[in-house]
Amino acid sequence: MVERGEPIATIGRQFEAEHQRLFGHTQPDGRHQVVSIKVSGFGALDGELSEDHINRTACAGKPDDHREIWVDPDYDWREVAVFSGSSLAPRVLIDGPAIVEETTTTILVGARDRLRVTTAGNYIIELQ
Amino acid sequence: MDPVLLALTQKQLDHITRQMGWVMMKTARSPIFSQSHDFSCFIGDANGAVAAQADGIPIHTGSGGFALRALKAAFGQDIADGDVFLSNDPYLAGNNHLADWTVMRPVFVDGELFGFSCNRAHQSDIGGGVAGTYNPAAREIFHEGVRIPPLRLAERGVVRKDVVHLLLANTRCQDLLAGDLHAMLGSTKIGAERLAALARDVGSRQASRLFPNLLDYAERRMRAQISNLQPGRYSGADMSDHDCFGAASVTVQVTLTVEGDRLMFDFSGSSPQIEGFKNSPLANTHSAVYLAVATFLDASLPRNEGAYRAIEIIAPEGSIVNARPPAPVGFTTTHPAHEIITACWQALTGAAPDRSCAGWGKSLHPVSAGATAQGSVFVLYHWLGYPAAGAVAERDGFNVLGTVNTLGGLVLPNVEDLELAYPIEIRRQEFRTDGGGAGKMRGGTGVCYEARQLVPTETTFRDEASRRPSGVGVLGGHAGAAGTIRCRAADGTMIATPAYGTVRCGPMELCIESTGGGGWGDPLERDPEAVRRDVLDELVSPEAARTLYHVVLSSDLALVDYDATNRARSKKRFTTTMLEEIAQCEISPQESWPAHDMRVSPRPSSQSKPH
Repeated sequence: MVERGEPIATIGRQFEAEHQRLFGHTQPDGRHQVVSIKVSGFGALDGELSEDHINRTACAGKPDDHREIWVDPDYDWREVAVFSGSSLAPRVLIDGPAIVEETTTTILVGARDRLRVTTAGNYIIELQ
Repeated sequence: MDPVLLALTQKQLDHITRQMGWVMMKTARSPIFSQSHDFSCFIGDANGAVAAQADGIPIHTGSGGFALRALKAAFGQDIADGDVFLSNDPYLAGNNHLADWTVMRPVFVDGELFGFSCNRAHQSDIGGGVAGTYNPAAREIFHEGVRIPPLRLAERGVVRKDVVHLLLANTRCQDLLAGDLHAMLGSTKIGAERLAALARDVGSRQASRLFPNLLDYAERRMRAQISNLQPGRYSGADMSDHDCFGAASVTVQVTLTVEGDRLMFDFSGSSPQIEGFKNSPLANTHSAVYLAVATFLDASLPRNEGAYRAIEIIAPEGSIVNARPPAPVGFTTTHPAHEIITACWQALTGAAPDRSCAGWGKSLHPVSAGATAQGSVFVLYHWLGYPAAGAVAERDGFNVLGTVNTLGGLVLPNVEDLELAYPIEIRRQEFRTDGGGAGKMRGGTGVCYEARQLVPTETTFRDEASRRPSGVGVLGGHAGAAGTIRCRAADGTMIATPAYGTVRCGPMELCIESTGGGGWGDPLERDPEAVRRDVLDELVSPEAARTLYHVVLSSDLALVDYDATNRARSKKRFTTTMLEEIAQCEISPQESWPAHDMRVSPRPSSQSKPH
């Protein structure tokens, strides 16, 4: 946890101290890389985001690529849409069969399934 | 000593080694460690006996005591609180091979040496003739990399920078090695802190008796287990058909004597040491034997060096299992460790057939080294093309679990992580059809692995598996299928792959069919329903179901036709019995085995007997 206005050097020192405690060492010539910053904000929204609202504004995603894959015994081999996860905006809907590629994983949307991107950027796949 | 305290302490020590492993996984730079865990953490007592080795890879830890005792022999009383030591040499420091660096941190409690917190880890590169630690052209250990006798890496809490600089001057992967070395220092520091805390918790009077009691208990358990084996003399053998420079017959031969509560493994009769880098130094041979025994006997046996007191090993000097310097040993932890383990399992089978372990497939996955887009050197092991495990009485072999020396302790990398870390695209990793040796329990299938290397590499081939089946079956089980390896350049031309050798390649596609594991027991005794499931999963072809398992399935594969299956199996049993009777009248019974003879093991009736 970092207080407001704290200099970067302090954050680095705190990181090194925690690294030493947990892992028994620090890297003498190591450089720090910030891979994520989490910010918490508190406040009141004007209105609640309802499922209706999400569904009304849902739109079909545009695939980045197509690829032939084996889907299942019924659908067999066929060309399916491939989406890059980083380009999917909230409220996008994708009907399977399709593939979503993320940096660290590959997601199959089954032949009769539907993927929905929530307002928070999560994926919900409804299995049929 | 309180048995409850003793049991808890062994678990705590084991847990400390696991925690050290997590530190290494979290903080090491090389994907060899952070993704695949090619390292092992262990704890030794003040005399240098391994007391806990729950983390990592058994071929590493089984010989950890050799390195600790070499350290003690080198430094005697000159070991202080805050010191840390390093070694890698098999001849000077009790290690397996130069690639595995062993960091050993003494732990002091109330001013007395209490034990050692250790991490042995396979480095990305250690100099030598080829990037990536495996130089198949090596004819001397000097061709394999930097040699490190027991060396003081840190003195009273301060890392010796000049020593670190010397080490970094001897690697092609400075950034990786610098980071990994400090991760090793960190993991042993965490282990040392936990070990000292444990000693303080139980009090100094109890603490001094902890290790002796744990080792003695393991010894008693092991001796009790051995007493249950059928006494006698049994033999086992496994061989390689290549000495790294050409065809050769290199045999690991063992005679096991089971007598009372002790085992003696005598390797007299094994081949002399060879010119290539598949020689075993003494520490590695001991580790391989311990692995074979530990896997063969009860899983609840404590795994510390006390258990090994009941095992005597005779390894003639100058042989493949006790090479004299300066013989190269770079590939030792895989081969001949594999041959040693298989030979020991075969011999042990005579003493307890029900516990038999079918052979694991031998390896042929290459190592590729090249430059990343940023210009640093990468070293990539094609572990996704790992071989399969053999079957045991309780289960089919694992389909892709790795070389037997790791026993699954090496983690197969996640495809996406691998593609992020290296300039490579993984196209396929799929279980083979008919790769697993047929048996009552089926051998693991092996995998079809296809990868595209996107940049030029120096690729080192180490093919021990394509020329004949190597995952041997037991008790009538068949051997797994041999492996295959093919490389195709970007322009479509095939690249000739040597059995052993390093090839400079442009971007290319690599296709491996990894080696299948051996089957356990007679295929005619396999549950027909298990055969049907295997056919549905395409692990076994319909043809093999019919001709090897003699199982008849309905045309839609939905049902087993039990009547037809029983008829087919009865007929097969009758024919086999007749053939065996005829074979006994022939001069060379080996030649009269029926079809698939390359892959058939003797059935229980003709199993080796005590002699």
